[in-house]
Amino acid sequence: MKDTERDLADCVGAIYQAGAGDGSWLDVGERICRIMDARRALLVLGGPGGPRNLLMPADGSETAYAGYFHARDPYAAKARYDFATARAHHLGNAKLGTELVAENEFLNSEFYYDFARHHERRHVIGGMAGLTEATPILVSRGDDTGAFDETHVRLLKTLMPHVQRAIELRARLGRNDETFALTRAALEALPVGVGVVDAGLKIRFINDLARRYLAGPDAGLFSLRSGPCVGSGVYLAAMSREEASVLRRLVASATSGGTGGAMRVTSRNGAVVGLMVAPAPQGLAADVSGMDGGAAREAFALLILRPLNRKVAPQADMLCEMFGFSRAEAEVAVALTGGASAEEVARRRSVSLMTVRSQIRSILGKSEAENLRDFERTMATLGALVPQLR
Amino acid sequence: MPLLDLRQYIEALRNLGEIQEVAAPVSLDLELGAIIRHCSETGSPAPLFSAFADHPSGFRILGAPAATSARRGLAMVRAATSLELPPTSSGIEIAEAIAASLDLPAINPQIVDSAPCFENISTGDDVDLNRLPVPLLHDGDGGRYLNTFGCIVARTPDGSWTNWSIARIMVVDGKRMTGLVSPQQHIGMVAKAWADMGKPMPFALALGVEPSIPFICAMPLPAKVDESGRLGALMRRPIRTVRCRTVGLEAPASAEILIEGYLHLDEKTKEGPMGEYPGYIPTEPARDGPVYHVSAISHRHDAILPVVAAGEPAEENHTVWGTMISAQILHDLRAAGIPATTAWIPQQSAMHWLVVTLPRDWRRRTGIDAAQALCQRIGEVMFSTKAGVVPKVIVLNDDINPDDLKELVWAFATRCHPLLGHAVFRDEPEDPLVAYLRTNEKTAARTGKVVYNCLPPDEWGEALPVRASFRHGYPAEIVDRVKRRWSEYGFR
Repeated sequence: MKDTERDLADCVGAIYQAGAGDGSWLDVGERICRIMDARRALLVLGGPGGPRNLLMPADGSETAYAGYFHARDPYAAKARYDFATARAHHLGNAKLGTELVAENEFLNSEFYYDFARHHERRHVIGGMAGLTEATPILVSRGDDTGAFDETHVRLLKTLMPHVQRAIELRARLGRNDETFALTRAALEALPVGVGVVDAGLKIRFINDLARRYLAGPDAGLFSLRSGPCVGSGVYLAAMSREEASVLRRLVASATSGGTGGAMRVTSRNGAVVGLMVAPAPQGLAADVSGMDGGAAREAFALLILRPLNRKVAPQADMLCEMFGFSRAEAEVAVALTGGASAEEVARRRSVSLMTVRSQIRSILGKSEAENLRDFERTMATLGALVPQLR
Repeated sequence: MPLLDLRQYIEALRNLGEIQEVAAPVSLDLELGAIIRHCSETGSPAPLFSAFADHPSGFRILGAPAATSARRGLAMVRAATSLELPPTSSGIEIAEAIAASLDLPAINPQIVDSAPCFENISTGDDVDLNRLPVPLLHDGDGGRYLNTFGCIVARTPDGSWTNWSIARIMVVDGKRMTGLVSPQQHIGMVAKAWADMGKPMPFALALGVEPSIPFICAMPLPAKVDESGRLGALMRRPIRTVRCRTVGLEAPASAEILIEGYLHLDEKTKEGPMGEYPGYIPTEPARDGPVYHVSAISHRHDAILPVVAAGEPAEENHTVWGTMISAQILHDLRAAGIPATTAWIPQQSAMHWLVVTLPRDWRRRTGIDAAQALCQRIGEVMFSTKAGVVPKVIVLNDDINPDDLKELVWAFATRCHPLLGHAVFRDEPEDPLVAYLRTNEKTAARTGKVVYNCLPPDEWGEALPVRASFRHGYPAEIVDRVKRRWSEYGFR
């Protein structure tokens, strides 16, 4: 082992940085593998998109483990058992794989036969960590480099208390999960369609409203599962060549230091949707695409979708709440926004024109609008906050 | 180890199992051509003939010198070995290496004092081309072709440009030859410069040269670029040349046979026809060709003449010329800002298709937004150069390997809309040998060309079709699992 003490100290520093959200767990994984002469390291914690191994970049092996073999992993099962039965005894401890799972049992398992032997997991050391459930660190090698020994166990034991504290720190700060969840929840709650795409229009996030719009049979925009392989991503596309070209231009601008812009997208049924394209703030982009700290920051574009040719007035309740209108004033305000004249409103409501004019004066006063045209502008702005794509 | 002459190349091929000695006497009259054709079509080892039923001994012939091999993973072993690349290199890898060399500074040739080809010298009245074993290659050829894989050296009168090229040359009699010399070819331009001064063009024809030389002779470099310097850059060493005895030229010193003389553009004789690279033996009558007057013949003891029997793929026109054109076009496209992953002439297309593949983000890299505009640009870049001889260009995304015929045919059939996005060029210079040209097009050496758009609809942007194949249509872990358990399922 090379300059081990210094490497260990550096690794401990990296562990705390990752736990605080200022460093990269991948860096921790690399350091642990280097110190232990290991090929892979595993620490599965919850995060954007569900639990995943924080210590290795996503590859075929990680995908297979996350998709299926995690449930067949005998070391993970043993860790769950130990944690449930004697947490205090096991926390911070590290053991050779053969002490955790009998060699015969391991070699005869589906996990070994179908997965571990092909993915550098023949020899294992496990270190116990966890908060409410077992989240052990498993360090492994293939058959070509031979088994681990007690020296390696001691090294992992040295690191485990720090890993445990870093996990606690991560949970307290709640950076990854909560930020991610909050951002998504906020975007889902918006009354407009919202999407985040990369420079090639690969969709990184899309809220429910936008998803519904794209799935519409007449929509001018649609999402497209891309090849050549399954899992190559989903892309945003436009039905019309011309609109697709404008969309690409706006996204190119927004992802290359420009300001983006706005365009109209026409559906087959004649409905028109306004699409605003702007650079996605870096924090938002990182949150919705689930990037971990330290990952390369790619430029994304934020898309906001809103129908244009459907007049949408704020609901009366909303106006009462915002401006302190009476119920009658709110209903008059909604009717006026729909294009009706004061006379028509009076006729429809079976009241005198005088009454309506009085209500209009009150409406202008409470809304601090200078005149009816100014009030209509206010109503149009409020209309943007009304769910419209449903 | 560098392969500095044809004999070293033959030894290298022998060690790779790519040489078949043919000691049985064969007839130069069609039999030898038929054997070489069969070798080319079956990927058999290159035949090395040492005895001829209808010609005295003293010479040997190497057939199919750079044809493809039938051995798995070694299809381009002869081309790769010729260029001192790993024997398992694919054609696309070879083209990539050649394209990369085009940005390196030229390494000019090194003139040496003597060469093995001067072991036997005939000049003046002693010159007799009939002493050479010149085969009749196809039933229907208009004569016996001496040059099918040699290097023609020519230099402009002011000495500023020395051109090395390959063009077929037929023996007329003991002292005269004829061949294809079109005004569009570089040799035609040099010959015209001499003819404009009222003088014949000095030439040297080096046969049986070191194996890399025919490749550079086949490369469609721009006019006024010396092939010898570019080959030096590719091979990372100067190519050795030697002064000719009767003309003011230097020829490759590695030649087994060196023929010198003067080309008279104003003197004509019947040339051709000859079975050619499109895969047909022309039925039209012979045409007039200019006359090469021979002033000297030199050769090594037991000299070896390389012979290509042109025809249906794959022979050296496809493996050598095709690879060099692919490399030049790949370089030119990239230089023009088109991010081609590769440019490749599939050998089975007999030089009539060139496939350009592009990454999905080509719009962002080029600033071109529409596939049709991209195809137009590719055509403009390609057809404006000597490399644009290929009349049909297929533009695909780079999930397709153009060297895999099964994949290419499927992609061309299923991704090419018959009407949308193609770029048509209606009147472009063309090689009259292109198979389907009408008589007026052959005479004018001009025809239409097309760039086929096989990219996804513009509306899709960077999205690509999802392929329903074992490799692409399933998650990686399923593919991996099926492969691992294949024998467990009972398959062998």
